[in-house]
Amino acid sequence: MKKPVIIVVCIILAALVTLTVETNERSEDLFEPGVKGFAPFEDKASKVSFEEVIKSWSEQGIELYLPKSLPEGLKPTCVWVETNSEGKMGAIALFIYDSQGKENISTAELVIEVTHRITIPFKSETAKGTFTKINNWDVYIDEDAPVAWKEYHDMYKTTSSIIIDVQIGQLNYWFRASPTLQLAEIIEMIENMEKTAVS
Amino acid sequence: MIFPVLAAHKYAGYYYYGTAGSPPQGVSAVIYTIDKLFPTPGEHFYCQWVTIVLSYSNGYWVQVGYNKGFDSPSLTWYTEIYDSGGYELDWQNETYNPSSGNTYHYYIYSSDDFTMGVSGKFSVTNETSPTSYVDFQAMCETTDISIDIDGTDFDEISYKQGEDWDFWTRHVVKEDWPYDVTEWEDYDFDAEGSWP
Repeated sequence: MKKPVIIVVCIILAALVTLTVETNERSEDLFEPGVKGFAPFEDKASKVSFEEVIKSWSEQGIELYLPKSLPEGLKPTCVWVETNSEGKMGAIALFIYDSQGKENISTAELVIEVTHRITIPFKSETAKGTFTKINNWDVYIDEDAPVAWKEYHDMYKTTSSIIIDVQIGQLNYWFRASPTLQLAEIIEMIENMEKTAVS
Repeated sequence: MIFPVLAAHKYAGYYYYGTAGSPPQGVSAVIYTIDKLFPTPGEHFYCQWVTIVLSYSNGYWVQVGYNKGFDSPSLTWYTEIYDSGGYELDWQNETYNPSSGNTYHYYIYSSDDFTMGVSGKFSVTNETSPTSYVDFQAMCETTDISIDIDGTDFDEISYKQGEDWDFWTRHVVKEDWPYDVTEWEDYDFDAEGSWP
């Protein structure tokens, strides 16, 4: 009689251990009311033109690359760049592209987040996407990367985006693309990225 | 599937302000613990934290702080991650909880993984994807302007460079109405306010 009892106890213990492990894993079911998060970038940044960032960064000796040509209909709308109280532009800029002229980071069709990083911020051991090279630049592609913004979910009826991350010199270019853009179109944009110059 | 509405929350505190070159490897702050009563603790919460932002465009972050309200009715430490692998909130209440009126040293730093915790209380290490980050923040956050944050005090806000922790020498203030931030130093601020 004792053996079945021991077996049942073991099964219950095993189930409890499994549950404990599962609670420490990432979930896609974000619990909206309890999620904390961070303050939005727009509130530390200034909205400026592409030309203003190109000029400012050029004066600081920063080599910036941007796509020379865009998919049909897609247009550059603005740049959100961090700015201090003296108006000096800092080291983070989000370049916004949209066919409808949208300027919000959360809902734009394409955002290129340009930051100073040494290498691509993904590792083959932990990342679920693929690594490749374009124009001899290191590139990482994730076609199903979650997005935190509810406005994005509402607009595009999806919770994920394409990420293509490109490392060119000391700058990292994180492309977040909505479902209105095809992977091939973004790859083509990266293929024709060129060093910007003050006009 | 439910996702956060980050922008709907109210914030009072500091963003770091970066310059060209690789960002530092961590953020820390000494945060005073406030214990406030508010009308709807089952629906709302406030929390005070330090954060490393992994991506502004997709909205990825790593955070450590204390929370009161919603699903933690008393003061409780927590760690929070959202990255390309999904969302994770862990209450760090197995041994200790923060005490009102006390200050604690909160930290997050990166080597291969992110280590975060409260000095002398708990420490956890997590892998993230992406593995590196773009910015730091040190803030008080509420979900409702009726929550009074008087007494909020962040001090010794620091970044990690190599083996050293140095006080911030630059910041951008974040001050959502009705909250006020008093900027004492780049590494030291107080915050207060509520409505009505």
